[in-house]
Amino acid sequence: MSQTSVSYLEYQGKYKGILGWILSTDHKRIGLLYLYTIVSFFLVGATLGLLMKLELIAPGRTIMDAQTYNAFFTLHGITMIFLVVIPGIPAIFGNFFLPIMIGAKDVSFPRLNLLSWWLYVIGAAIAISSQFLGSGPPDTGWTFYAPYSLRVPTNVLSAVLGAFVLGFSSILTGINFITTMHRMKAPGMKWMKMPLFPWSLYATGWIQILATPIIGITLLMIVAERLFKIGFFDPSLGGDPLLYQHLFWIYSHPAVYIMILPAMGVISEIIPTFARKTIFGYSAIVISSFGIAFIGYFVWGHHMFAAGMSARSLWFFSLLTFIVAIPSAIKVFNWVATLYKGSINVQTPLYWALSFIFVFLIGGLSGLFLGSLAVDVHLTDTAFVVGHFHFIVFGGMGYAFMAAIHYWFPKIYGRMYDKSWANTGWLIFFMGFLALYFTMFYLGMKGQPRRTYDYFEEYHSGNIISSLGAIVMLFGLAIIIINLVRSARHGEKAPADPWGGKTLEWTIPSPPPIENFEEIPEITHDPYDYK
Amino acid sequence: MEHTLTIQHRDDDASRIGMWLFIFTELFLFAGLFLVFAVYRVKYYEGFHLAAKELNVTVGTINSIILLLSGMTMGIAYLAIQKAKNKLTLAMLGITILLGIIFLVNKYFEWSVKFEHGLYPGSPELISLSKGDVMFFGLYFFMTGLHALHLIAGLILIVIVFGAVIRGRVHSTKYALLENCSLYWHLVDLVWLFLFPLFYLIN
Amino acid sequence: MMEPIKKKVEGYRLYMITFTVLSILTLIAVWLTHVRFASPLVIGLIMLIAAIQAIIVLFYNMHLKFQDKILTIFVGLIFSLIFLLIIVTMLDFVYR
Repeated sequence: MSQTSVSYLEYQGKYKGILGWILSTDHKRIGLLYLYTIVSFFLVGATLGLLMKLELIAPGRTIMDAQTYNAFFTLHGITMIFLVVIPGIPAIFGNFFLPIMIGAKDVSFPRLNLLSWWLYVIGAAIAISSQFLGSGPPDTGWTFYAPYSLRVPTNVLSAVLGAFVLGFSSILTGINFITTMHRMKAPGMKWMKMPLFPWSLYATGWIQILATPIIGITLLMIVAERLFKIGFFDPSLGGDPLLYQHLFWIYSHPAVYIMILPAMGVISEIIPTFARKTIFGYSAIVISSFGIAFIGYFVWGHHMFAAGMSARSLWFFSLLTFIVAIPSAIKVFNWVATLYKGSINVQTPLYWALSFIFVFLIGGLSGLFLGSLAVDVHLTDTAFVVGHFHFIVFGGMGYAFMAAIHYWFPKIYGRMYDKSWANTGWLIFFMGFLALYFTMFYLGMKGQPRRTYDYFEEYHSGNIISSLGAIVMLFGLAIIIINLVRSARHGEKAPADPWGGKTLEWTIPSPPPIENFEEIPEITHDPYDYK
Repeated sequence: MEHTLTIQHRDDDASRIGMWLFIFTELFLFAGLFLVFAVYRVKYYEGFHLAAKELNVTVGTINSIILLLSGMTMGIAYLAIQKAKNKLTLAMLGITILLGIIFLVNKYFEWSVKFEHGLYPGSPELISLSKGDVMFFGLYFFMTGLHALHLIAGLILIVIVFGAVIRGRVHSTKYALLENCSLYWHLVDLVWLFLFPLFYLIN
Repeated sequence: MMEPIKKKVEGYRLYMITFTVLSILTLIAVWLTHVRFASPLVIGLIMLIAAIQAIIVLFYNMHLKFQDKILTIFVGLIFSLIFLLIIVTMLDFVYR
């Protein structure tokens, strides 16, 4: 066996054993490092979520007191947003498949790539340390709203610093990916011949570069305020707490698009493969990604409709919120049109992709309710909002993540998972998900506030359904994870192209050899070339 | 495996693009602060006007010129390395480092005068003044402080490049490191071009 | 594609000229503060000078002029985006 044809899993480099992984600059190994760390944090966040749902199964104190509940939803938010959902798809599947899909041997800056992972681990450690060091876990919510976050004695500082370092990691990944796409596309691969997953990472990369520094500086200001009493956001010193909300959402709204754009990219890969048909409206999907990225930059104010902004800001942000729904809808139409008259091959990734479209549609449309000013006054800070963003963030990014892992699993590990268990897991998960979050829309409209451990008796029955849904969903999740972990070791060997995909990653062996390609391929045709 | 397999490739254009993208990030970092400045300048128009009188325009102007001069020496260093004039490169890098340090020393004296007058965040004197004053000096220290941190980072980078030129790791056909260092140094320059009028001149 | 066009950069004089121009512009800006014009006009002029200086630094000192055009477009978009960001936020603070 020649050296270049050794699979990346078996390759022995300068370092052996675990060092061969945590010091590896191979994009595939870094992708897997991210996979294992992110999934671990996801399990932490999911456990916290389950405990919160168990607390809410009955009114009054059930298993925890108010302060613990506040600490739990804060840590749940920080973990899920900063540690799981934002890096999620780009850092795992982007790292693993971006170079392969554009016909490159690695990213442009492999060592910077490894540094990103290390920064991610360090940032995560700092953020998690907030739970154990200092004067108690933070209870501000993941939004760190001023002035509460400036005055509360709990350990806000290390949570904020952790988020700052994580932002850095995200920026470096963005820089790396954009440069890679500018410099390392295989000969013949014009921009408009690039597959859609890389395209979505390109748009995401720009948001990472242009929005993340804003939260970086905002978090630094929080640090400076707590340490030096500067007073940027402290009304008693002349600061304006609303300015904090502006700055926070200038990043954190585009961050939603950092989460969802790569997810849409994954779906755009899966749908044509399993419809065995060229993607409908390739350029419309590409352009709509940039439409989302650009308009999405200017809708942050819709998180502040009830906070007391000027009337002009209110209508401006409301209008743009409605407009940003258009490019997302364009993508949905394109996916559905791709399926139309395709010869559909029903497999686990397609189940996930189709359920993605379903939950994303509900999440997106419920967003329009929140985007209209009058309705939002009623719904602000209710369970409706929680339902909405879980449909978008978890239903969007989470489902696409599941679709991606089931789609690319045979390529990553060279083994196939048990399809019937995977489908069973999906069905149970999907049912649990709907019971868990759908009821939140109802409860929110009835007026149940979010972020409280207690509620009135009238919300009891809805909460029971929701909490049972959480248990069912985690049961489904357990099936999925056990199936995947088992199959990574013992599954039957997978061929190079188990699904009949046409993009470049299916042209190389599974698992991929250390340098991806024996010879850099010449690209002569479009990415989804089904005849 | 008899030898380790490394993917050998050097792409100076990629590193230039990467550097520019990083500069974009840095610009947005400061943009957040300029945004805060704009908001409070509108809110505390009078207070900013009076507070700005405390700043010494002469020192600020001198520092501007120093920074512009260092930009010139950095540029000459960048040209000299391409013409294989290593001695000139080293001399120019040295002068750049010196100018950067002079800038910081000036800044130090400027800051310590403010501290003597009790005009620093959290001081009892400052809090007794108007809210516009509190905001102005809060922003002044935070923004010039962050700029100074970037300048220090730039200086460290130049020292590294200086060493690399001596050891021959940066030379007339391989100067991407120096080029990126020069880009970063000019970013520091660029930010100051806006900080200076905002704090010293337009009030 | 972002492929830089390598024109051979001219001599050291370029940097001396930009330094002189930038310094003179700074001095003019300082001088303007002593002039008794209407203050919005002076502020406008000073910020205009800062913008001109920024353009000179970007194009000559940072060699934007000698790179691929796409980079110039990116830089232009970046600055427009920052400008828009400030305008949109001020929509709240000016009209509140």
